[in-house]
Amino acid sequence: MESVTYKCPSCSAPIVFDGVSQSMKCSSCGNAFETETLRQFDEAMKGAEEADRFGWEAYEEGGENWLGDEGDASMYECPSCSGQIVGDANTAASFCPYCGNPAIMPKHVSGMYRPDYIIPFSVTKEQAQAALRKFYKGKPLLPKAFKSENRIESVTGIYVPFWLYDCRTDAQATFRASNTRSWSDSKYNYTKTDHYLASRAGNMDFEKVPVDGSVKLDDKYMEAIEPFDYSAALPFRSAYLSGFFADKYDLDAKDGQPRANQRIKNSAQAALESTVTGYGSVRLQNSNVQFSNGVAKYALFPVWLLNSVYRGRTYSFAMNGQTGKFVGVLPASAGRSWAWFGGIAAGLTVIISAIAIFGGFLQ
Amino acid sequence: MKKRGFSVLLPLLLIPILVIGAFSLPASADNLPRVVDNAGLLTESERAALASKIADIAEDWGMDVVVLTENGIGAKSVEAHADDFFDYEGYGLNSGRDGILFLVDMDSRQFHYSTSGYGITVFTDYGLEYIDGEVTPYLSDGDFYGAFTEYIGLADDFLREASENEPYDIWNPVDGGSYEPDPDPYEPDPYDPDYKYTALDAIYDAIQYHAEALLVIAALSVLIALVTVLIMRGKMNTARPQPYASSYIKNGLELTLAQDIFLYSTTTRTRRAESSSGGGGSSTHRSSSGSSHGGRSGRF
Repeated sequence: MESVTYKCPSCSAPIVFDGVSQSMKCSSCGNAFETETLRQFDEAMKGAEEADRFGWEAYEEGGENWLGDEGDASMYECPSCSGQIVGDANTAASFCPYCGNPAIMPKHVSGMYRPDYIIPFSVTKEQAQAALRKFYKGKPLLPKAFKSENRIESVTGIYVPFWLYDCRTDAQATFRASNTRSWSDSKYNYTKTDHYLASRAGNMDFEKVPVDGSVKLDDKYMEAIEPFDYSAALPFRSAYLSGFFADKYDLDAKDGQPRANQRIKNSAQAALESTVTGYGSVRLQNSNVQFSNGVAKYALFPVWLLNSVYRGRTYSFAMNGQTGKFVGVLPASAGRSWAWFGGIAAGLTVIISAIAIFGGFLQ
Repeated sequence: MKKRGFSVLLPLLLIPILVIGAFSLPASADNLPRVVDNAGLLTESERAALASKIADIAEDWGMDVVVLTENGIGAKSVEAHADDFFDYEGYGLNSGRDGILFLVDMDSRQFHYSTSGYGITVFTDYGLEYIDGEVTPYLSDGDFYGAFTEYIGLADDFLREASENEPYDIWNPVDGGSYEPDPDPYEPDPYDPDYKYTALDAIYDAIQYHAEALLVIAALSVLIALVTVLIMRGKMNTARPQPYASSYIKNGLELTLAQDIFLYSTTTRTRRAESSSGGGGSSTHRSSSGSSHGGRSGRF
């Protein structure tokens, strides 16, 4: 006969059958459980304790080196940050989009894979510059020097390489949920908490989860300007690149998977958690996800980019070249921050005090 | 003639003795025993010592202090028994029937303090709680003479405090602080007839006068300023990583398993704070005789 050791759901100590009460009793914390409850708990926990399996198929490269045959291509390298960016004869190479350095040199191009999709630019450079000016407006904490030094002119249009991940996810999760009720009588205040174990499992399809394929470009900017409208994605033609840079990817499909895995897993867990309803508090205990039919595609998406260096730190501005959504990080002047803080604090104190005293609200 | 005259003088000589004797009788000329030891817990000398102390209190403060011990009181509550004994036996001094009775029942090991008349005022709920705390340890130890001595001593102290100051209560605790003169009394500037009182002086005085409220206003302003500046700084950074992939879900979640198991239940309880009648004073009830009594019960 197989021997099974059950664990107490409350304190995890081994639990034994108590002949007196005819139920399973924990000697450590004193809670009693029905045998059937423990069996269900045990099974639910076993199911949830499997490990995640991220099943991705290997990306098959789209074959030939397209840049070599369809017109002149130049690769530019920046001497100060070693960033490499590819443009054709029509791109105006002026400033390095990664670090802002004005000197970039053309170099011989090595192979580059043909993308599966491309979304062409719909936002013009003028619109990008207007958005940039709007972003600087109304920011009283921006140091004066930053605004005057900035080079709105040199905002650059780049096709950023993205890996797009499709997969089917089977997710399982167990949650601890509880409901609390309070009441009191003349002598005591009582609090009763009911504890539950909620098991959930389900499957979801994810389509084209983007992870940017450029190590140099900070992921947080690329994620912040999501989403791109995929219905406008077209099969690749190098003609779309004319006048813009295209970034060379340096992150493999394989290397982009961890980020995609994380985001997909978080979403799957959140979706399951949203089905646990009717409780005062819900807490995730453990979960696992199994991916299947995992496929990666390679795409180029349009982004307007500007990097400004101020006092040794880089502050970037990124704009979705299709939807116009923009994000950025600006330096906040410490001096101005303190000035505003002091001004508001002092001003409020004086005004409220004057109203209180001379309006007769104080005794 | 001489013999008859002598027999008339003798009763006349006794009159001053009787008069003096009448004045030395205890104030309660009803001859009720103040220490009624039905359970036989005290020796005769102990009983006499207690009775003498009680007589002093009656003379000093006009309060009737009674001790009653029993070996069982039947189905009655200790409160009812104490109240009824006090009322029906005729205890209580003066027109208000001022008094306090301490009943100890050995059979159920319960006690009760019953107050009446001015005793209700002097022995507040807080005061009885204090006396309970001091006397009950003696009862639990079996030192009944010690318990009653403590009880009478405390009654004396409570009566003195009520007479000199005010009855012990929440705002006048037994071990409370004592009066201290103000260490920093306000001394106005000496009068200067040529001094002109300007608006600046008015502002300065207003600030000093309302110093506490102004401090609160200043603290609030600092808080608001802090929050405002933090929000302004937050607006300077809009690039945030996206932890979810919710925009990329096709068709939504298809749930294949949803099972909720009830595990166990825990109940905790905390004792509620002992509340007197709101903010001090004494709570009262009516006994079977219809008179009002204050009181407190307990176990030892």
